[in-house]
Amino acid sequence: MPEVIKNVACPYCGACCDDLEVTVEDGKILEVKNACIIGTEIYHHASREGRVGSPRMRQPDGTYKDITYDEAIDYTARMLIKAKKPLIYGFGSTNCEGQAAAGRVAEEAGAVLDNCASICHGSSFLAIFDTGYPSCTLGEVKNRADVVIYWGSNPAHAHPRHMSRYGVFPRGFFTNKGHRGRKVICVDPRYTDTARCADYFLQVKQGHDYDLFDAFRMVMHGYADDVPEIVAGVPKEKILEVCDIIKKGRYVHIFFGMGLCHSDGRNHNIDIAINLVRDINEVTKCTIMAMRGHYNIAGPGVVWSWQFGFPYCIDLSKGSHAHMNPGETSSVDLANRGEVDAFINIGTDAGAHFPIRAFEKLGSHIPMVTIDPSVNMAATVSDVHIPVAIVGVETGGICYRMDNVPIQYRAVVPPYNGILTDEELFNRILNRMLELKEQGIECDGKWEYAKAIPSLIPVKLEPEA
Amino acid sequence: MAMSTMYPKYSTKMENDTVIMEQRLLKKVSHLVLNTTKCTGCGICSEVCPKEAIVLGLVGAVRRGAVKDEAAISVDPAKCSYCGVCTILCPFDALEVRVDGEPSLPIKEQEGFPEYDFTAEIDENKCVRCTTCSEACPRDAIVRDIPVYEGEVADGAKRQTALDAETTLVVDKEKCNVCGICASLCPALKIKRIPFTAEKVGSAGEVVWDKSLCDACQVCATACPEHAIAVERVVKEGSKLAGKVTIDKETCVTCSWCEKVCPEEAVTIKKFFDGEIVFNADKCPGGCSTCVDICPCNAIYLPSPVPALQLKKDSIEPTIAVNADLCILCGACVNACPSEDVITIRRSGIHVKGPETDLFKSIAAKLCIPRSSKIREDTFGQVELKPLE
Repeated sequence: MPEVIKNVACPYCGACCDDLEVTVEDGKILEVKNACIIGTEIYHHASREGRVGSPRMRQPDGTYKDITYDEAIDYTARMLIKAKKPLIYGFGSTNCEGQAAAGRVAEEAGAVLDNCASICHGSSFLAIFDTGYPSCTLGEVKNRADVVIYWGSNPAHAHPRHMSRYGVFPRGFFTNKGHRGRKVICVDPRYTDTARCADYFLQVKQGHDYDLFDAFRMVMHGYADDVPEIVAGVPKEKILEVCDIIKKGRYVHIFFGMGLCHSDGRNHNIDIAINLVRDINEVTKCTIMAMRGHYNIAGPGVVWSWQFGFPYCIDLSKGSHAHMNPGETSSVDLANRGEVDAFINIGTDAGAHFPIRAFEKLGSHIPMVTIDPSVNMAATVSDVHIPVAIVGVETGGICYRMDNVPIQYRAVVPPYNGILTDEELFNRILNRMLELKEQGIECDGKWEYAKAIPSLIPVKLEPEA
Repeated sequence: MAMSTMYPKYSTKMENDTVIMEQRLLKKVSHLVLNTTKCTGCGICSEVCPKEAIVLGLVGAVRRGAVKDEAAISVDPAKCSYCGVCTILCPFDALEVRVDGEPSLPIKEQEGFPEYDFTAEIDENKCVRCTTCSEACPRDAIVRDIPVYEGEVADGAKRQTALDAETTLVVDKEKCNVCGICASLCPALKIKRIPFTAEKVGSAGEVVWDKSLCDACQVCATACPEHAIAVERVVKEGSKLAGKVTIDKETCVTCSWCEKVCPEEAVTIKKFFDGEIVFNADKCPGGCSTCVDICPCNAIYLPSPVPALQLKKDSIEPTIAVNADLCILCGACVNACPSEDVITIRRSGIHVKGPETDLFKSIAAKLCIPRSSKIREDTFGQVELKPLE
């Protein structure tokens, strides 16, 4: 008999929709309701043929051979002990329990512990350290916001149900007219599908958001007359019109995304945005929120802040106290400078999403373990690939939404082939490390299984003669 | 093909802004032509059709432009008798019956049916030709036959021509030293200078004034270093702009916006329907606003949010409201509303002139059935209302 499981939370984006209804039968997922197309695929993917059912190790000929969990855990524990500066990176897609267990492993290994923030909203963190984070929960936006700004973000494609659950369309307590009572402003170089939903679209010149924020702040400070006729490609009259909407708003909220974090200025785009929020708060109420990407990328920030006091780029190599300095202790920088000698890719795909020059130094030169439910690009060049249960599908746990609200995730089917969860795996790695250390295995910068695989080094192809 | 199926021939075709229903007999061709830009989806045609040939479709979507290749109403060309009752009673002048290509309303010509009787007048004596009514009119029914002045378009009529006034400009020749400042400032002034000559060195001549260009603005008088210029203007009592403002009765739907906004109380509107409209905002889901978008009279509005200072749980503004004074009880809102019991319309009387025939009386009775909208209709894609008592 098919069973309908309600209040299921989706393990894809930072919107963390927790209103899914999943129909299961005999441990298979039949139907997913309420999720967007991306979320739906996550669930169907879990029940598809071809899942990896046990750990695998790459052989000298490049093929993979199944090994036991014990062997895989032993390899990983040895690698972590023997390496001088291992990097454990990822964590956007696992639960807080897994992130905490990984924190304990990293501490024991003296590793650098980093999460996807360092290539995503890490610049936002830097700005937050500088200027603060006047934010709110998404319910506040839904129930109060009458001016919603999507600045450099495209929820229509990246957070598909964000506009219908929080930002634009829902009818909240004080926002009973839904989108007809809200003014939606989109700032983007492209006329995105989000812009199509907006009342005002400011087509900013790519990379010139700082100029535009500056103009907004001038208007807020009463220097509108001194704003040039065109700022960052946006006509002055449009800036004044939008500033007028903002000033008249009862509750203004700004959502920002990679348009600010990934373009020129990085953290300074964010800190001026936060300062604009502060300015607007002189006139009306205003809050700002980072459109966090993965469903639990806010999780490591919170968990590791409890454990170590730092949200990301945590260097634990001193053994006694943690150190954080993005730019020095961030994954891509460490990789580019060749400063790590072992790599664990967990709950992410550095193979697909790191710059190729950074990843070739990780994937081809040092031993690498990928911990992931599925085969991804990182797994295809790893020495060992350890499958784990999918959070939100095969195991539950706590995940932090983009507004740092913890959502209790739940399992809808048992883990495929009895595979471990991230938490179980990291706990076992920690135990094995303690055992090995007792046996006298020490850090010597050498590892037993590391094999460089020259044939897989990404190289520029020579043009054919 | 068997003869019986050849005539009459029926067809419907959509061309740009019109939908043409056709009945073709051997010699005679009848057309019912719908102007889709004028049609508001009010549904009066559908209620009054003696043959029940007209149904209402996607009123909200069509009027908002979300559906392009459909009209708000659809007429079955075979059921239609081309009688013209719909044409007579359409408040928006969107329907026309043509016989053999010519507009034709035999039912009216033979006094078989009355027409709307309403008042839409502007008292010319009270009207000051301001722009308020023409700006406010939701149907563009105000004919503002006034010259266009330079304030509106750069090459419009000169503003001084708007006044019925007598202007005089006097130059004190004793004081004037022909310095030329006045002429350099104003196109209405020129100086006719006696050419400079070494024989008699000095500035001499006279100031020439073109009355038709003078604004009586006093700039010349003020700028004159010798205080030699005096400008005076006497405006005639009761002077007002030339021309006339009238209401096009074909286009007017008696919403009375013009009457309500006229600063001089110069407009008289008497509506063609009596009755009441009631909005029950508690049942409105919010976030829809279809009624606001499609109301032909702009009578429906989203109430403004209460400022935070006054905001309490019980002071949250309603989701929707109507200004009943501006409503003409056309019914478009009820047809478009996707909810139930939010809007109730009760027509209690229809003002007509002409013979009140039995046919008219039966139609009037149908128009006066109070109604609200319905969530689940029996026929998909077709408007069906909920009759009330």
